[in-house]
Amino acid sequence: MRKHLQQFKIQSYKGLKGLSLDDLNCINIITGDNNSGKTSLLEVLSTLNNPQDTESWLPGTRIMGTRWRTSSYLDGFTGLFPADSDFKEISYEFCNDKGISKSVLVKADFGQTQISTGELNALNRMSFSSVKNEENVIIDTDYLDMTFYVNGEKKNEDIIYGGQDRLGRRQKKESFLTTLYVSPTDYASKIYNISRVFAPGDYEIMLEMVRTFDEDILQISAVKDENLFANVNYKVYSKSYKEPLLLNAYGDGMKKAIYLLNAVIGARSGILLIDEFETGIHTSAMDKVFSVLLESALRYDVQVFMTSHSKEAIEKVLRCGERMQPYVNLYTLYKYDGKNYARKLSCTEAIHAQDNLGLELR
Amino acid sequence: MAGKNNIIICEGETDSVLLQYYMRKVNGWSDTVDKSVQESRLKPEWNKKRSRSLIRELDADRDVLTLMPVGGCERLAKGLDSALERNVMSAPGSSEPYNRIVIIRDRDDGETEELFLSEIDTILEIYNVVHSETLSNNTWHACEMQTQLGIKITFQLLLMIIPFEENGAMETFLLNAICNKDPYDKIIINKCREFVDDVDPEKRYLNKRRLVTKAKFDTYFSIRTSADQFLQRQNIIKNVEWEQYPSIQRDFENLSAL
Repeated sequence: MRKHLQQFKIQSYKGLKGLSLDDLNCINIITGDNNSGKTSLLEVLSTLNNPQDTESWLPGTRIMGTRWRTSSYLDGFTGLFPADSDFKEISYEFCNDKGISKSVLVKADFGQTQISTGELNALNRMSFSSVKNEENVIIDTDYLDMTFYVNGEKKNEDIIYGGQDRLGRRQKKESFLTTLYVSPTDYASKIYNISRVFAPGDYEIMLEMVRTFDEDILQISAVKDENLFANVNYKVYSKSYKEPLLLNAYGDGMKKAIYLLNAVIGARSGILLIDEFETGIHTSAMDKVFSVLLESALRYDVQVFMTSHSKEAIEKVLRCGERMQPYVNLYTLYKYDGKNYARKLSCTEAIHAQDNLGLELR
Repeated sequence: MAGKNNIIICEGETDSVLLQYYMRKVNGWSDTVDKSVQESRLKPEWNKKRSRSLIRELDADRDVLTLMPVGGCERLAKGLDSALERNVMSAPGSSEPYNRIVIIRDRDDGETEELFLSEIDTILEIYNVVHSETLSNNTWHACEMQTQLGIKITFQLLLMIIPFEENGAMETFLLNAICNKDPYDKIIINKCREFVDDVDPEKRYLNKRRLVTKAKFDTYFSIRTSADQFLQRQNIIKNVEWEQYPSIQRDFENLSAL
């Protein structure tokens, strides 16, 4: 399978500076201490889908909480830029599978301006008619002006104002790569979105995988239900019960495994970004689940970047069979003396470092 | 694990037990059951079996000392290679790299100090280790190298070549100590010594004084602890009052720097 990215370097993004991941492999485990930049790395990688579009950078703002937005758009996007530098820039470059280098630069300009409440409401998609004349006043506000460059060419400019509640229209897609990002808890809220695993071939693989969690499972069916958000529900037929149970009734580990398999298929010929890949999956199921996911990634030409804190989970992937070992790299991120480092180890080097040299991989 | 990380690379298991005793009794180190310390030991693939049995981490304040027998003087350079490999791959700013590395060997008949120092120098060159002075015996050398991430780290290296004298050999001291404690064992030991002195008149196998001394030692222990040999042997060695061994205080003086 192709390594869509051979090298990825972040010159500046949030607290990351000069972080370079070289010799990327098909499966790339990213580990390191808290605040070493693991999730930030995934956020930047996710923008490869459409780096000139403001909305591609939204995940990095982390302003979308589980139910409520936790901060303003202005604050969220401001936080993407290095706090301790006078040069407010986000910059990264990468080398693709053909050896061609490409770059992305986002320049920021901060300031204060005046805007009418009418204009602000328009930005927030509220109609003018809902604003009474006497309410359409001029207010002082902060703004962030972002200019997006791709390969040195200006592609987009976008301004976010204080009080702005929505982003502008999406920009024309200039995608480097299909990217799919999976947070540690997506499976819980998005389990309705697993239609891909029902395709012939993938369904049988999925079924074999879920039997690791419950060997009595006979089949899982997608059932139309127009009362539901996604118009579909999933029922699990088991030897243990006369009536099928809803998939939601099953444990988090099984749901996560199905969700991840669905994500692998969805990221076909692109890159899949999994944050804390082991969350929710019990150690007893890890061997089978990881084996299925990694083999599927190879089959679907998906380059995987997955973060983890878990020594056990990392170990399971590293020892996921001799066939997989050549396709796996481990990157440990460090922050030392004000600089960011990424130690790269191949799978066999990582096993050697841990088993024989007594080194900590995380 | 914080503080200095030290390692003593020695020839054999008996040396390792002796060093453990000495470092505990004389230099204030102690055993630890801390799992994280045990898991972070150097356990080279080529030495795994031995290291699991004998390597022991001794804490002094927050420092760590690993004692690693390598199974023969010809593997000492390999032990250094593994220690430096760990240094190269260690995490920046961590306590993983070895700050002090000690290599201890006996010097036997016909072998020169220069040959051993040359072997060590070869290993240091492979890892681009810079040291200010020419390597010499029983002297701490300040060294500098780079990790895989290009970060400079420093460490100190001590090479100890202990001259071999039969009467001063550790094995001889041990057998004499047992003789002094137990008349029954004294008879066995003396008979073992006579047997070894007579059994290979052509010196086809026992052609070095060191080998003769080890044969006498092993012959006695093959009788004393013929079954379950290893643990019983360790217990006997541990119970000898090594601090009375006159050579030790002189030869191991530099280890007080650990």
